Amino acid sequence: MLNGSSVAGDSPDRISESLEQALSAQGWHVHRMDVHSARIRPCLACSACAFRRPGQCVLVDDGQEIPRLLAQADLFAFVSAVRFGGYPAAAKRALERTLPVVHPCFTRYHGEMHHKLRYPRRPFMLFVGWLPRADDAARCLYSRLAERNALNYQTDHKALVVEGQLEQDVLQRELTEVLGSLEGHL
Amino acid sequence: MKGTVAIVAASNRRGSNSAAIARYLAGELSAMAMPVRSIDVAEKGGLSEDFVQAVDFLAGCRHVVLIASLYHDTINYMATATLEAWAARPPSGLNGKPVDFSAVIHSGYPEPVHTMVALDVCRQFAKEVGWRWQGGFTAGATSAIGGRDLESLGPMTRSLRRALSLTATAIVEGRRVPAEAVHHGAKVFLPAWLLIPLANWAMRRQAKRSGTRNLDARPYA
Repeated sequence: MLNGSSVAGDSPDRISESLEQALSAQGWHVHRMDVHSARIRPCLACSACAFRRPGQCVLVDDGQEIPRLLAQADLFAFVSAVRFGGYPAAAKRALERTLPVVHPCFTRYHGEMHHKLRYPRRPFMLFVGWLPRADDAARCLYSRLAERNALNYQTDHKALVVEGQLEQDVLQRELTEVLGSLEGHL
Repeated sequence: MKGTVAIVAASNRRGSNSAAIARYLAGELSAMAMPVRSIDVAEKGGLSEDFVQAVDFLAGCRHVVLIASLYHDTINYMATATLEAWAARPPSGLNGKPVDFSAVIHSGYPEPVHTMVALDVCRQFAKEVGWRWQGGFTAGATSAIGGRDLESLGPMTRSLRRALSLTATAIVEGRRVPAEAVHHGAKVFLPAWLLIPLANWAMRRQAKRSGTRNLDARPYA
């Protein structure tokens, strides 16, 4: 799980906490990385993960672990606030560090040009976004972005947007229901 | 008073295609006697300093153009952080009017479907901060630019240059980016069926030059 919260204790952080509990209760082994406390430098688009050290990032920090976690996971959960209908900068910075799982060569997938992927194993992707208040345009845009991400990673996905402040028990119940609905996929 | 157009190139590295596109657009605007200033937020390296600069840079500007590369299906981190910095301290624009905002999003992929979400993120940003969205366009198959001047690439960038010229005229006249610019921006010099084998050949050649032993390595399998 990549917890893209900006500050410890904010809403995405609480959602991540609840999601981790819900997953653990269903027997998942969860590896969670908190973007707000991890040291994750921006991807330099240096192509070293393509040519110099294929599949590995040369930046020595916590972000170096992200491609390994993605390559070995059955489920990749990405939690963040929704910012301008997309991901906040800190969360985006972490997501961009997944690049080493992408192969530099291309293929055609779903009728579009896409990068090949290094690994045949593709985790199911669960995107959970948080909006402080209801915003249909932002919610739709976030869902489209999640769909595009899943398409690029050539896998199935589910996107969920939580709006407003939810009590922890309500949140956990909702997330448990979402995970239950995914049973056929996981 | 015309005000100034601010062109902001935002990619994750220096010498980017965003900067090359920004240079061309700045040239087109200058040729029409439009006051213009440009910044490449990646150029100085120090990220937090750059974002402060990107905010201060907008003072007194009438129109802001963001030029950003696609990264993981939306605008790259550098562009995202720049938008957040602007949202945290938005300038009021010229004479208290809302700032006009437009965007050019480019990608190595030829199909516009890859870049539409990124353009919509820019539109959503404008809505949330109270700027006036003046449209934008997406450009595909831009990897071959390699940070070079667009003019030097001849026919390969003809459509992109046409789209930028039309955009510059619209900015000078205070209009939205026209549909014709969107149309030209979406044109690519090669179809995907041909671009894929050529790009793969280029990647294999790059790997050979770089001394890559196993391009297909799976270190975490």
